[in-house]
Amino acid sequence: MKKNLAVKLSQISKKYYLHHDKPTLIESIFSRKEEFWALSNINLEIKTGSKIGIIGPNGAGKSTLLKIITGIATPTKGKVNTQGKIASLIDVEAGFHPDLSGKDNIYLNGLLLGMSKYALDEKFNKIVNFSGIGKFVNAPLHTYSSGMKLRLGFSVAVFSDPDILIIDEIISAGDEEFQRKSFQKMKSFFKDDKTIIFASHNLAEIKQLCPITVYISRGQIKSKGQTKKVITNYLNNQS
Amino acid sequence: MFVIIRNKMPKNLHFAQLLIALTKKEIKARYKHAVLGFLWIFINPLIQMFVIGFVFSFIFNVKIKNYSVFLFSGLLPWNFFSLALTKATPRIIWDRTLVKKAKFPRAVIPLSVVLSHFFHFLISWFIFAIYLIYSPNFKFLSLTFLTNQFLSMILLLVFTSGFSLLASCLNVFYRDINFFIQALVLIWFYATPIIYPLKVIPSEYRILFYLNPLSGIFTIIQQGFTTQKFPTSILLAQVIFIFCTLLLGIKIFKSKQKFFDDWL
Repeated sequence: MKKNLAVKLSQISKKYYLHHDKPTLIESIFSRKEEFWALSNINLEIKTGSKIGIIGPNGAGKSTLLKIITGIATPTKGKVNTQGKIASLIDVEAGFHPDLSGKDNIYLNGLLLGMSKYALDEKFNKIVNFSGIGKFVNAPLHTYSSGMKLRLGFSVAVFSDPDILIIDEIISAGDEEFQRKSFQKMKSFFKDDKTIIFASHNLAEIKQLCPITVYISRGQIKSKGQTKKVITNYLNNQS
Repeated sequence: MFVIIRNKMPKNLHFAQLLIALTKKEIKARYKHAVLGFLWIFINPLIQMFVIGFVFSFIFNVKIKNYSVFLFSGLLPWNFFSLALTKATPRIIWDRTLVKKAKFPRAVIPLSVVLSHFFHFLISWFIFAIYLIYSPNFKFLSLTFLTNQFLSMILLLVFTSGFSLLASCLNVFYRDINFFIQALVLIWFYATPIIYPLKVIPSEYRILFYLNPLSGIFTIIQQGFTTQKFPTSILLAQVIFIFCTLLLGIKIFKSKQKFFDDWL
């Protein structure tokens, strides 16, 4: 893999089986399987430091693609190469436990995102300050408002200092003020050599954040390039 | 130099830190749900001891000296094994939001469940040991006794970890594994010398018990409370089997964990 690439996907295909019920041992012996290709033959190179948007209708395979880049899902065919630490903002609250304090949750979530305990000790105050949860840091998480939880999760992810940040619709959650704040922070935070991969339905945000966009439909890349052109293409296809 | 070490933290160290944090979470969450959360770890085997002790001493008239202490010494580790295994097996499915959204070594999920139950087991074992020290009738706390206890605890932890890795991993792909494990644990309890010593089994049937990898561990755990012996060669075979279970658990878990997301 070339030095200046953050992500390289070569001929990625992902097949899922459709389950009608919970998978069981009995079912696996007796019933036939229905196949479904979520992605087929995706080739994509993302340069280090680029901010790339991913758009496409629901069910196009955006989330599957992000999962494959993150390493959560494994492609059925093809090869994934990534360079650097990846953090994903797919759902920042996933690692939280409602009965534990904000502090415990910061540590837990940070470790789940691949941070070391040492790094967490060092950045703990910064995370708390950025999230703005203040005195609530020692209160159990179930006393937090949903906005506070969101801010906390976002702060941990941002301070986990990834080389590649993967965002799936996160900004459209939370209140308007937080959306603006996090969006601004993200822009300033990742000005440098960090790579951002951003999937969204919000075309205005994509336009603002990403110079390059990939348009995916039915598991295939329809077009790729300058955001303006790709979005025009996407809108023409939609109507 | 320092920066390099920090950024390229060894994977094993991160695994250990994550495992410890998740185990702490399991323990804390248990305390916070119920004030008596921890006490139940001790009360449960006590109730079991009274019920089983009553049935066997009075109805079946079992003649074992200090039968209730003998029982209790076996019920504590058994409860660890059965609780850890049955709670760890469906755990990856329960934590599916986490598994589907973040990339981390998945083995920490079942292993943190096993370790948190092991912690509770250790605490209740210490309470039990204090009782033994102050109990006038028993002179159990010898060096041999403690060594036996320690080694069998480690073996039990290894076996429980390996088996839990295997069961929790397969349960993602075949959800009926969970029910299978529940039934298995129920039968396994009676098939293991816990409420009875191995020596009451006629020697021609004992071979069947030797096939149970837990029979050696429980015989040794209860050795201080009743005179019973376990053949060394069989024990050795069981120890090898136990470590093979762990290796198999790790191997299968490692090869299957990348497909978890597809099935959750």
